[in-house]
Amino acid sequence: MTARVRLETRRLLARRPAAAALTLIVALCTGCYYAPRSFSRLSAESRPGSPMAILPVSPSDIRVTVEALDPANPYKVSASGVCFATLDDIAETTDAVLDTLAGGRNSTLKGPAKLQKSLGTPNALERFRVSLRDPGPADEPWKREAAAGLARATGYDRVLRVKPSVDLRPDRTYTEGRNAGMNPSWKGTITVTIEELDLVSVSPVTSGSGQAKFSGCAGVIGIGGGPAPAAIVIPYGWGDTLSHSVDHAVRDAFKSLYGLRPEAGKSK
Amino acid sequence: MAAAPGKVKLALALLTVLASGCMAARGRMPDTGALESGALEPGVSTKADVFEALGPPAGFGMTRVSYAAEARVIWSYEAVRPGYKTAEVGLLLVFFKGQTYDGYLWFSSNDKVEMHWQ
Repeated sequence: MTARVRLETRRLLARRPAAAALTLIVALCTGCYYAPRSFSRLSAESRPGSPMAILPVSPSDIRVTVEALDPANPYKVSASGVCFATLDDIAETTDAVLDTLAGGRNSTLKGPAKLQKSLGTPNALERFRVSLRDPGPADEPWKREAAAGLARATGYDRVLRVKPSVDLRPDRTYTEGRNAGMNPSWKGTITVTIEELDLVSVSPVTSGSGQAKFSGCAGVIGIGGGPAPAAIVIPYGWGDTLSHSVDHAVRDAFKSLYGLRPEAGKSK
Repeated sequence: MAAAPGKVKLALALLTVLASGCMAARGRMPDTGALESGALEPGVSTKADVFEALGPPAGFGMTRVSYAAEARVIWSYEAVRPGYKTAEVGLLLVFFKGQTYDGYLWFSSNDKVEMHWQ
């Protein structure tokens, strides 16, 4: 797939260098999806001492708060729409970050993608998730069975549940004049909470959280005057990306969870 | 000049993505056959049985019928299927008494709900 993308990029560069350059600039600058994140593994100090699996992030575990200056402000929608489309996007982004962090030859962590692959059918995971969200007492037998079922399916006694929370607010909006409806910018905070769950006692053992801020801007710039081709409209965007901020927040959360344990760093 | 088949496919895919993004269906209504046929028995069937029959719920809640009664867990399933100017809405509530299934309630937009675009 990557080779094919490279080949297509080369072809485009050869045929239409200006178009390719413009596409590349827009893609790189359009903050949320394309800008890079840190692809380094989680440091040994921030990893748990015993083997654990990270559960894939469920959209139902994600909280998004969009704050607008005015409840009727249309930017409430556009600001969030520019940065990420759905809860599934946040879940996928977080899972991708977790997979990267959990990688490595001597890692004690199993990332969400590997876990899902090893599970085959998602039934044990779904059942466990439902048992976590059910508001009934935690000691119901079927909840213990669901936890035991997941332990059997994964081979792990302890798992990590990751819960991202995104707080987003418009930073600068144009509600009047010629720029009305254009060029929204936003600021946000991502808080990631990681819970270590014991599948034998079906209880949370410990938890930690990390936070990162992100901001961005997107819109269009008009050059020239009058209708095309006299005028050119160029879309643009910049800012700290969602994946970049998630990366920071998850690292902080792992550090707060395991960074201070006495045996931390011994495996180095 | 005729457009290359690849370009046509790409344009169609793009159009589909753009169109579906605007009017995406949400949720999933489970097969209520197990409820209507009596396969799930009040006071006997467990939450695990309901999960097997209906799948994972979209939401959870608790209700108290009266002050004296114990709080009951509710699982909810919902589905919204938007059309061009209308939408079909369905909601299923499953009630539990303690750890066992106690009953269900479902309702849907018998006729389609008309949506007003602003």
